[in-house]
Amino acid sequence: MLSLEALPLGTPARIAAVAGPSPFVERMKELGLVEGTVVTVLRRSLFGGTLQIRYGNGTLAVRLPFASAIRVEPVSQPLHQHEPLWQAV
Amino acid sequence: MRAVPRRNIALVGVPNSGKTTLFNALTGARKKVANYPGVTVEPTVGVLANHAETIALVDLPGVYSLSPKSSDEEITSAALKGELGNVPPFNGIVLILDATNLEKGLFLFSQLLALQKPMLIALTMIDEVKRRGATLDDILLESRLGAAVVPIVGTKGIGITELKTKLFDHQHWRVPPMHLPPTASVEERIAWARQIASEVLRNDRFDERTERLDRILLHPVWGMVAFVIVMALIFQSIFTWSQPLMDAIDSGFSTLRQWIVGDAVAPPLVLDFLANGVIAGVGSVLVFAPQIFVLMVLVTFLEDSGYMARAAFLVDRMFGVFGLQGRSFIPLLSSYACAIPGILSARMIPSYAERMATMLVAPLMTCSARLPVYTLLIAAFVPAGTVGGFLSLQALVLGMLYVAAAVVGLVIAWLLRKTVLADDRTAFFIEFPPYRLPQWRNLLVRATMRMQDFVQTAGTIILAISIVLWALATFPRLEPRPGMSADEYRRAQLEQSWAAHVGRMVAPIFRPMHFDWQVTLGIIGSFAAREVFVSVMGQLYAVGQDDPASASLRAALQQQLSPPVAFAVLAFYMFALQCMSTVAVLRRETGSWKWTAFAFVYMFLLAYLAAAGTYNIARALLS
Ligand SMILES: Nc1nc2c(ncn2[C@@H]2O[C@H](COP(=O)(O)OP(=O)(O)OP(=O)(O)O)[C@@H](O)[C@H]2O)c(=O)[nH]1
Ligand SMILES: [Mg+2]
Repeated sequence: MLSLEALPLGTPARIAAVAGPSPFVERMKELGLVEGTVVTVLRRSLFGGTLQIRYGNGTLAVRLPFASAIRVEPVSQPLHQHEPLWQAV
Repeated sequence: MRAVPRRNIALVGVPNSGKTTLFNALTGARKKVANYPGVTVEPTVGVLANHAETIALVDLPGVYSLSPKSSDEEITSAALKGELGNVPPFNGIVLILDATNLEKGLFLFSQLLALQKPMLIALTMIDEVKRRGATLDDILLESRLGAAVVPIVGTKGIGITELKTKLFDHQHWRVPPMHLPPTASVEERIAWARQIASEVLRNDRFDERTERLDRILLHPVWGMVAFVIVMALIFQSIFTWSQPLMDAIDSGFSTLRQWIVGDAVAPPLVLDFLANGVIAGVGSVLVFAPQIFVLMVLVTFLEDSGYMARAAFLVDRMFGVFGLQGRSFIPLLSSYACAIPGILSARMIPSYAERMATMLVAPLMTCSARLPVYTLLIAAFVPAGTVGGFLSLQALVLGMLYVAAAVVGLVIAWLLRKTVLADDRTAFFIEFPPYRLPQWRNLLVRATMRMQDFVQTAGTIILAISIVLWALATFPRLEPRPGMSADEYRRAQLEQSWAAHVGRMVAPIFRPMHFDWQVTLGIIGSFAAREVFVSVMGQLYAVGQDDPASASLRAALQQQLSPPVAFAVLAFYMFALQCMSTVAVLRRETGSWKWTAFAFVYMFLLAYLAAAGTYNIARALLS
């Protein structure tokens, strides 16, 4: 298990836990970043810190309150390209 | 007579789902639409009526859930609970469901069920999912949700008539069944939303055009380069695109003025009033209307393209260093058009400290009311050459003023966040909408509205001040001596007028930067509206022309202001909070006179010191 910030670019991973100040955690879940959702980090901003992530068919910019706020587990099986990512596996 | 029944209906949906577009299409309003989440931050009411009843439609800020995380979301939650004073309780809800973002919309729907209100669903952006090659089953969606679904394309007016019919037809309004127990967790609701979305939407995939553009525009290096180019292009265009039209208006007013006063040494009072009061005062400001228009078209283009969320991502890390966050970029950029909507849109920033810091520096951004002052002085005192063969030197100086304002704003924000607004580390998030080609109509409407505002200020505040100033400058009346030229007479008249007396009395305030009484009056008048400076210069300086055929204000300034004074004036306008409407909005949004007074005082001190410093440096360098 690793933090979302440490996840290599383009590697799908499943969310294992979301932690942090409660409004932050609640908002991330409301946006669909719940346990089990498969996310991919598309880009990091210059000097890191801010991420562009993809899940489902949309993308989101996030800077976490601390690096380990979202913990993920890389997905081992290859994903089917045109299926929405959160459905696969 | 029977009272017409009236229903209050709320437009609810996640941010950027197309609520305001639909609201405008239904009511004919012209509320701001743009392609980023968090555009609408205040409720707006619009009225729809047929023969039988009236519907008050309320456009609300977008929300992701009913537990608000920022103050724009709080407004919507409160309104839905009937706790917002000026918004009456709702009889029904129109849920705006963005077909490209179904899951989040359905999650919100699952929370709205608890309100037990009759609902109607507008399914927007169906053109986009179709373009992506997906199939959307709205009949199935309707039966799965238990509420009438109307597919629409708000931007093209598709489905609007149908929706309107259903709005008035009570049989389409149903209270949907509770699909989930009221105690269901966020996780359960998300799972339910995903289930429904996967049933009704097939073969949806990422938007490829957006993918391709993001690959460049969000690239760690190229993205930054593109960011700088985009900003530079804006400033270049403000200058070059609007110049021909401005010149035309300018010479139009000059001709008119010449025609009114002719060669008379001391024209009759009525004509003098028209030429030297109204035209010199108001006309000199109206010349800048094309610039405001061009600026607004460009800013609106950026806002409606989808780039704002990307820019927020690009600057987030750097803004974080200064105690702000990516979202702060949006209020700050819109403050470049006008600080008032900028300060309002800071409501989209969840953290209190970051929102306050953003609002307290927003008035430092170069709003379009400063543009006339800047362009006038730059055109008069910066040579017209180019740098590197394509970038005009004047545009470059203007660009530097814009950048410097932003840099100072960031530093002040940093100071505030280190001291009075210290707070814990915060998080940042913003959804990336797909890129969309801005609607031409939207660009024109927004730019025209801002220009109307500008013209209205010119026709009211500036006209009033011009009249007062004209009276002060015209009395006591001096009798022309024989042999005096029109110009010599005007100058002699001015020197002994009440305006000169008043001006000389207050001029010592600006002793350190050697502002003469004319400039001093211009600056003091500017506390009503910044454009007043141009109109005061137009009245007090444009009269001293040796060549009466060219009454251009620019030439007059070159003769009568020294360059160090001109640059000091620029420095003063960069920082001073000379706008009563901004003060009023700051008071409302910060909820405190203390913060408002603080903002006013720190900006005045900054302006004063900058002007004094600039004067002395420029004098040392230029002598
Ligand atoms: N293609 C397409 N674009 C749309 C449609 N409806 C709205 N848009 C665009 O979507 C963007 C967002 O529209 P808005 O009406 O501002 O959305 P909103 O829900 O009011 O957003 P907030 O006020 O931020 O909550 C704008 O760029 C619109 O032009 C639609 O049906 N189809
Ligand atoms: Mg809106």
